[in-house]
Amino acid sequence: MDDILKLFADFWSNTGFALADYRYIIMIAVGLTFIYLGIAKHYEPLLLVPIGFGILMGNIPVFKGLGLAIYEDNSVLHYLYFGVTSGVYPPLIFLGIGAMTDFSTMLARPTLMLLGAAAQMGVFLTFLGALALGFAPNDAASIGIIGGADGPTAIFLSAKLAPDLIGPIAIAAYSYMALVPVIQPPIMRLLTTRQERLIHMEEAREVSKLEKIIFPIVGFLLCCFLAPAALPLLGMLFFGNLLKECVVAERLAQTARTALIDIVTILLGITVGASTQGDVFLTASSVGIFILGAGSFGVATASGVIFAKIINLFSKAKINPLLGAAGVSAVPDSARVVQMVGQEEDPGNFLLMHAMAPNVSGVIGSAVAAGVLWSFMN
Amino acid sequence: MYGLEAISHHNGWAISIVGILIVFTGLVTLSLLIRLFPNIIALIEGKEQSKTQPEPQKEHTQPKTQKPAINNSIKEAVRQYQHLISWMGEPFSLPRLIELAEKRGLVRPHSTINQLIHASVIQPDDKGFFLWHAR
Repeated sequence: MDDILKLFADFWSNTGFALADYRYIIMIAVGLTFIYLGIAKHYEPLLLVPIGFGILMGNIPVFKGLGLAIYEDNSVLHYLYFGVTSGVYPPLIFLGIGAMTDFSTMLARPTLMLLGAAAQMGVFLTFLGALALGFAPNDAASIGIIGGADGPTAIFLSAKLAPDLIGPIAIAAYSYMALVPVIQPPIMRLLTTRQERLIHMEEAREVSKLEKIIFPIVGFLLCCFLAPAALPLLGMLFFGNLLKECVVAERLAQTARTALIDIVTILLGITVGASTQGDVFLTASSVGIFILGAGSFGVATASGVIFAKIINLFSKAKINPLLGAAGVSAVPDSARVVQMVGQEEDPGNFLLMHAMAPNVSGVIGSAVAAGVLWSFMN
Repeated sequence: MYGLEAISHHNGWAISIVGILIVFTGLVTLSLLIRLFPNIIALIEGKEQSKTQPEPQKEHTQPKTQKPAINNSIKEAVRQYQHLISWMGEPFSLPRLIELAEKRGLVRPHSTINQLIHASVIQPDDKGFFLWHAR
């Protein structure tokens, strides 16, 4: 009888119920919140559902040493997490993004690319803010890239410079990307007048197929000669785009923008979520990262809008300054936000396709910024 | 170390200023290059057109098929559809060409194919199929 009771006692001591503490409970609540936001509210469900469930998986209390948790060698999650820590998953996601992105609005009006560049101020100002809060330079650079509003880029740079912070940085980046419709509009209204919001954009010219084929080749060569550290991300982005635009490799483009990106998104989401174990994630630095992340999105939005107003001082053809907010490269949510805020003033003002220009140039800009920060920190 | 002292100690100001300048320089340069694309393409197409000047037509010759009227917009369409026609082989079915063009993501295939027919690049073979006459 004693043996049976002892066995039950040993079994109970190895269950999650016995091993749990308040940190795991908090993180499980966070995971459930992400799943709720993704499914019920449709906030970036392709990201929040895998990440949310990954948080649940990562915060099941397990007995250390059995090779179950993500930070233990020989665990399945650890092997899958290798794609995050080695920086493999983000370039593969960029391959799919390139294969589904239409750069024609940007090619039709290249001036709008500068709004994407201006929004990257959020990266460097957040970098300064992180240094001021006492973070080490490598950590500060990884936190700063949250301002680029690009999840794969943030994960890629964190994996290279601050692997310990991948979890909170990824969670912060994806959370704020999902909250772009909440964060951006008040800043956009504050920094623009009604008259400016009513500006209609001129119809964009038609872009030839040859231009769309030349662009990824020229863009890749220029950007990677300038910032070679951006090679993995921008190389895959432009390669994916070339596959799409050249037509002759449509089968490969189709795979890149469907099966491949979906598989990598699943693995990246679930492992990043699982990396946020309560004992690792709930620290003072995570709180600092979340505060800086919110600030970075705000600064990036403001930078883009203000730069658009500066361009209008010198340009005869006026740009609707709301487009500056689309320089935050949360594709296509920030472009949709621009459309929404513009249509609040004038339902006949269709800004979405124009906003895609700074939106996609922001993807390029944030990858270049990541490459620049990586090369500086090395 | 916190605040402005920490930023100065880690060379934060210089990194930020240079970083922003590099990002701006890259995107400004790229935008300037993109502005040149239409001119470069026009230059290339102008050279191609000058190389393929049609010979003066003799009065007594009566060509069986019409010579395709190629202008710049048709040239672009010819280039897009050449690959599809090579893949399909001749003579080809017009509905099948439209279906493939849609699958490949070509813009406005009905309108483009109509242009090619009007320009006599695509011509019927009088047996319900079509032939490609681009040169």
